[in-house]
Amino acid sequence: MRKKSIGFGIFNCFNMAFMVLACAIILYPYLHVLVVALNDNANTAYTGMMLFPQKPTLMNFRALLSDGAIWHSAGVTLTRLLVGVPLTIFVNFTGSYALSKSYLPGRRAMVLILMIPSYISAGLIPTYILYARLHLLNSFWVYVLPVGFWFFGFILLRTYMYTIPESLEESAKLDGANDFLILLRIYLPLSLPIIATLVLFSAVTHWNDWTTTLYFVTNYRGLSTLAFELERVLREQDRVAKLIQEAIVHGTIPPSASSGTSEGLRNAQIIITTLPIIAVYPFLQKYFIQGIMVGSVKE
Amino acid sequence: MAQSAAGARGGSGIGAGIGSGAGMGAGAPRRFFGALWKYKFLYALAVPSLAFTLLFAYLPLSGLVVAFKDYDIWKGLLGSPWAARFGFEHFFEIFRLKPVIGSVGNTLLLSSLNLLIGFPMPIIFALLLNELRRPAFKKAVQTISYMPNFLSWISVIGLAIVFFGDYGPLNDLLGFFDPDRQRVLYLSRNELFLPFLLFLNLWKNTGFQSIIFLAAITGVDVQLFEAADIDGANRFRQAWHITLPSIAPTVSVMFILSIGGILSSNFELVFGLQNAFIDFETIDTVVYKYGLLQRGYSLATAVGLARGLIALLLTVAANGVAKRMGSTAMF
Repeated sequence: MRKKSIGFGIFNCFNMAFMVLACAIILYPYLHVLVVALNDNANTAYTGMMLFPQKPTLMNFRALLSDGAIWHSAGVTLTRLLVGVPLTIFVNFTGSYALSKSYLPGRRAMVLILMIPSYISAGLIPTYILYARLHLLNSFWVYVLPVGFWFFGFILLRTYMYTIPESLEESAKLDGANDFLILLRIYLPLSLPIIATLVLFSAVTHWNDWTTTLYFVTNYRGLSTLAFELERVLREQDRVAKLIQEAIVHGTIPPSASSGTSEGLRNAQIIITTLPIIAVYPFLQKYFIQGIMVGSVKE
Repeated sequence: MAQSAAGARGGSGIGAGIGSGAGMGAGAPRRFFGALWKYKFLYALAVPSLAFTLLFAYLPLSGLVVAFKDYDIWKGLLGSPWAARFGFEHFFEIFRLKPVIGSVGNTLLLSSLNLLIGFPMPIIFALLLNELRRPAFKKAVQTISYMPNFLSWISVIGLAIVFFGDYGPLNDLLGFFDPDRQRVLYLSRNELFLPFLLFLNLWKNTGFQSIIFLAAITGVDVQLFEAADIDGANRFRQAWHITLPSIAPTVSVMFILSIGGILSSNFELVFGLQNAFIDFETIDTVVYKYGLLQRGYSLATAVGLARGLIALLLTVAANGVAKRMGSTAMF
């Protein structure tokens, strides 16, 4: 047993105090944004530090949701998830299954081909030129196709498949199963935990990405995502002005409240963009950590 | 059906032969196609991964030729004329243009500071987490500190804009102590931009990056600590003499990985946080602004290519140094 001494008692106190402070620094900015978003805009600008809304109202959320752009961008984001995540899983699952077979001739060469791009990449402009030639600019497919293969996900899956005993495959073959059945009935069900991890990582990456839109979607009206809408609200003054104008026309925000309105709307947009992740993350935490752990195993 | 099982067993012999390069005699082509046919299902499964990689990772490499040309969108990759000075004009241009060469300095400054502050922090955080004795408290701290990693950078920037805004909590807090104080637009201060980049990077990444180090710490043999206890080593000495040396291989690999990124900056963070008052460009923002916005494709590609080559050299060099020093290398 470890000895307890006064020195470590003091250290433990400081350590715990430091951790509490760190957690407060992480949580408070988010809490503040949430409180301001839920507070009456006429009351927002000068209230400062609050732990709960002084005049609770949903007017900012109502104003944002009455604007067509946010629904449209939510639709684009969801479509992107529904198309992009299954595609990434399919490509990486099939690839990692084939290349986890030690008896497959040429396996090393193929893995090398897949690995080299993690060290050498063409960069933004050559990528842009290629996408232009492939007609991917201003196309929905620019969101999902380039991330179809994902080396990190591939390594994660393959490392996991190595842990599945080969004897399972051998006995299934003796029982007359072909390669396809073995993949579908043995490897797929056994890989489900790591596939869940991959689905989460891939979904979060799609959800959070806004630079693809910035780089490759120049007439962004139709293909804007939620993350990109947030960028616009934060960085384009016109966008906020237009939102306020619309909200007043729709009657979702009283004209008198407009002093703090831009701040209220901005905060509501931050909440709408982040809430799904914040809400889901604590329950799925173990899958994310598992992913990091498996991924850090040396190749 | 029993035949396929036998085939699989026989196949491993052929596979080993081709893989090691042995037995490549006269029958090699026939064996090659034989193997191809025998494992057609597995090869077919590998095709999507290979096809996506070739299309989206290798094919863009052909566009690097733009760096050596005066690229004209209408003339295309092949039709555009070669740049002056045997095609290297745009590489000289990097040094001539003040904003471009300035961005290289900024990127180096930012990355070095990030490495100096941002690299040890997750290790320190993991060591401190490991010393927490109440499991429930430790779990709560972990859950909270990992959370920012899952927010997008643009959301983090949103939080910063609100928090450090003129009517944000920081101004209110400081105004509470000094009522006569003028409100400060922190994010419009050029001299504060670099500290903000460093701080937000710490805020978002420290917790999550500590996971790998925490795992390495947890993996240390408990008997070592028990023996140290008997020898009378206290917890600080145990951390210094047992925990740190034990996680050194992990630290070494993570450090090598970071060295390659010294000429890269986080575009999302730097660009997202920029505003009209900020004059701080990094290589990545310059490539975007000069390349995509102003259509200086050739210059931007030259910057990217030079950066990529140096990064590759640095990674290989760091790996070599790590090997020579007896630490764990990456390859």
